[in-house]
Amino acid sequence: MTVHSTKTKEKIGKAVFAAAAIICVIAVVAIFAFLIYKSIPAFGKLGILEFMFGDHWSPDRLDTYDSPLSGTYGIFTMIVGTLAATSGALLIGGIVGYFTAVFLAFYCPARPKRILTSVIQVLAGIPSVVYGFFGIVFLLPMLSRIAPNNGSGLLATSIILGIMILPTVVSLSETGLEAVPRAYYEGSVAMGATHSETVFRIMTPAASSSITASLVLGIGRALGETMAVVMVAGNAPTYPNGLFGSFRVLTSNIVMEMGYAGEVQEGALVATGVVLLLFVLVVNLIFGAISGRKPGAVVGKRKERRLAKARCSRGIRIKDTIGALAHKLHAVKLGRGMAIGSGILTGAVLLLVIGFIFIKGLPYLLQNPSLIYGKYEFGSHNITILPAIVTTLYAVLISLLIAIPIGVMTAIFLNEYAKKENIFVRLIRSAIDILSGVPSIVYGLFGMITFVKIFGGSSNILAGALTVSIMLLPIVVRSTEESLKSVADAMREGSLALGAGKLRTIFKIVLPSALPGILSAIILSMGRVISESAPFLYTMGSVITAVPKGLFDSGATLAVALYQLSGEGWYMNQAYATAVVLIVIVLALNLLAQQCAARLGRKLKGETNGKK
Amino acid sequence: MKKVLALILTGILMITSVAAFTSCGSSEKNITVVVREQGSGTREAFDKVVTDGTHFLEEKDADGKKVYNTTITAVQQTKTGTVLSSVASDKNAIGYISLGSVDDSINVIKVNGVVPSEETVLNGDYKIQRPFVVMTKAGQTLTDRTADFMNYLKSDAAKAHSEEAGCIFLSDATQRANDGDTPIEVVAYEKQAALPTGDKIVIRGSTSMEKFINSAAKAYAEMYGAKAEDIFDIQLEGSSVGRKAVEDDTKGNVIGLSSAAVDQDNIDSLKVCLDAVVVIVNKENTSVTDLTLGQLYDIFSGKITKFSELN
Repeated sequence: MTVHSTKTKEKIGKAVFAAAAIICVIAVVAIFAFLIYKSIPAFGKLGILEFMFGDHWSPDRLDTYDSPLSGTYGIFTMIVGTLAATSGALLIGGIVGYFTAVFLAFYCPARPKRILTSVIQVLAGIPSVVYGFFGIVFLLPMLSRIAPNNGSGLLATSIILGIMILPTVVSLSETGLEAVPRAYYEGSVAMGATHSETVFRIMTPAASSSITASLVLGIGRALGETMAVVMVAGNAPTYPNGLFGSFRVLTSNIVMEMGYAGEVQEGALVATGVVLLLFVLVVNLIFGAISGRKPGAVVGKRKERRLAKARCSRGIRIKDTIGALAHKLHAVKLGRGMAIGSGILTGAVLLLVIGFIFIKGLPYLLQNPSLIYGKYEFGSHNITILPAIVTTLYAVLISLLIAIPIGVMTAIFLNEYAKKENIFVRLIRSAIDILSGVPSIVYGLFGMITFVKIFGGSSNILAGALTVSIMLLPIVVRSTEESLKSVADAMREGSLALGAGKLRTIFKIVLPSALPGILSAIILSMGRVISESAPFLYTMGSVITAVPKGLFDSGATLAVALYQLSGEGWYMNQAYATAVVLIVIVLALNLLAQQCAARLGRKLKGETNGKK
Repeated sequence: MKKVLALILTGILMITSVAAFTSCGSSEKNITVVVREQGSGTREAFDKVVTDGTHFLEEKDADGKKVYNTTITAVQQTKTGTVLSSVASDKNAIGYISLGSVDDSINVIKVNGVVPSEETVLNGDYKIQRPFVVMTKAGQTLTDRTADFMNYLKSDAAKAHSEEAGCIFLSDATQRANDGDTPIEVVAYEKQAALPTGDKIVIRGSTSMEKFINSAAKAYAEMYGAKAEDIFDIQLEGSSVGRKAVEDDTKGNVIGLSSAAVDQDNIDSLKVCLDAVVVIVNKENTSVTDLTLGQLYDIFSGKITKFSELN
């Protein structure tokens, strides 16, 4: 009897974990299906080629599918704009990022390195609205002195995006550089090469594939970024014209017009989202191909071999080119200077962003603490961010309640039950890979055409939280799985040998050991919910004046409130103060997550003595 | 040696950047044209009036396609407030906002020699004007509370709120309705025994009407001893958002605000008051005080890029 019931329990357990994993797949399918379903009429009415390659965008919100169009819908200017902004970002963020990584890996003493590494993690955690806000209040006024306009345009966008992709490029490249065998270095130095020569002629070329992969991932990030770009690009639907001059990218197009789009216009905007999604997918595929060696990526055996071959030849070619070039230019010394300069620059940028906002915002916040807890008075200009704080709490709570169980169970399924790589497991893994690459505005679009419609057409907290919980899944799954992986197999074997069932082993042995990792997943997710704004704007709404009374009220999270306040122009002090609050919360969460991760590391080191 | 090299490099970088920052400014800069986004009622009102005689900033071509002739280099802002701050911070900027939103951070200029005022708007001398419109969905049964608030907005009580918002109250029943529709008389509002029941009244639409609707909502709530934020959900993002929200209304609790005339079969509309769209320049710009519609067209379509080219 007991045996039987245990077996049933085990079976049910496995089914539940598998079901959670299937939800991830369903989410991906749903996103694609709904976006494509919604955009097909638009593609049909507008013509795919005319839509993609038309360079005129002047929508008419009264256009319907069964009458002749009065608006024109062509997104080619925005495709060009997106590509230009991404290239600009890559030029700035890529170069600085690359040299910063080299600096961190080979030139930086241990103490400053620790500081710089956490500085870069902080840069990764700053919400994109804060970058955009920094762009408006600092970068644009500065650029306007040399620009023929107010400073907005390609240069400003590239700089902001460049800063934003910096953490991605640095951390991935650095990991790659540090993974190059120490013997390479020693061999080179033994043959008489200097430190810098070794770094730039031996070590960097050897890590070229992970450096390229880091750049590709940076491209993905730049392509999908929305709010920061909206705030500095100028947004006229035209080609970028030189360094300055208003232009529009695909993401901004969606976020600017979705609020009032009519039938055909909405279809065209969803279609814009589909095009954006295709771009990001291509980038992800390239990334997958480059970093195919990494565990977790889905690559077949034969493909793996082919890739390895390609990588080798490419690696040698790049090594040769870099080597020849460097020799000609005596570039090694230059490289060293660049590396040190970049490292310092990265630190300076963070100080600038945070310092500027704190200097401007902190005094106001200290003088008017009522901003945080004050009561909103109708029709007055007294702003309070209490409603935004309450809304943010709702958003965090609900999305975590949904995403954490599903994500953790998916991770358990992947790590504990699916040791073999069969089609089903591969499907789940690629679903998670895709989810993590989907730009946040596309999540917002998806939420708007599904959850918002389901709940009666107007934006509300529940719809926003549901939308963002899908976005959290890949974060939760990945970091939980990472911590599950680091639990030694010996502990599972020991538990099983003592007669415990698989479920009991998971819940009593594996999960407790992996708890710090799961905690850090939770904290990371909280940080993400707090700092995101694009997915909330049209799903949760942007009411900053009233404390929400229930899940079906609409409200703005702190990040959305910052976007609203800075857009108004006349609440600048309040906007600075809101940015300070936002940064403090995100920084605190980041620190907490780091602590958790460090604790996990220590704990595992203690428990798996000598295993490595 | 390497340190020296690095130092020299940084030095050169700093010098060039400083030089780049200081060298400009001697020659006259281009005009910064600040416009609203395409869904904005303010922009619609401006674009449909400003003309050089043959073209308008917004028009339909021979095939019935909408064409915008605004210069591609224009800076687009999505809020009245951002237009204000853009113009206030840029000596070479020109933009437009609602008369009610004017403050002393910018200069208002004459159009065709006419100063925007109640008198010049009502007699039609000031050309760039538009109505403030309150809308509900046609054929939709409104909740008691929404219907009662609409009665309030239709009544003479709206006069005080119009004045507070700086727009000119319309008392003529035919002018209050769209051409050819049943005239909408101004009536006295009858206070109910208690606040009528219903969900929160959702108000969406034009940012230009913020002052008007806030004033009306506050007074209405106080009349019933309630708090405005408990009765209303007000979120203003542009006239088109208001029209869309009204079209999508399923509960009968949505009121839309549009700062451009709305003549759609699926929307019931009431023109509450008239507003002027005023052209604004930077406080330091004292040379430009009066522009004709033709000159405005030339500036906003990009034909003229420097103020000195005006004559």
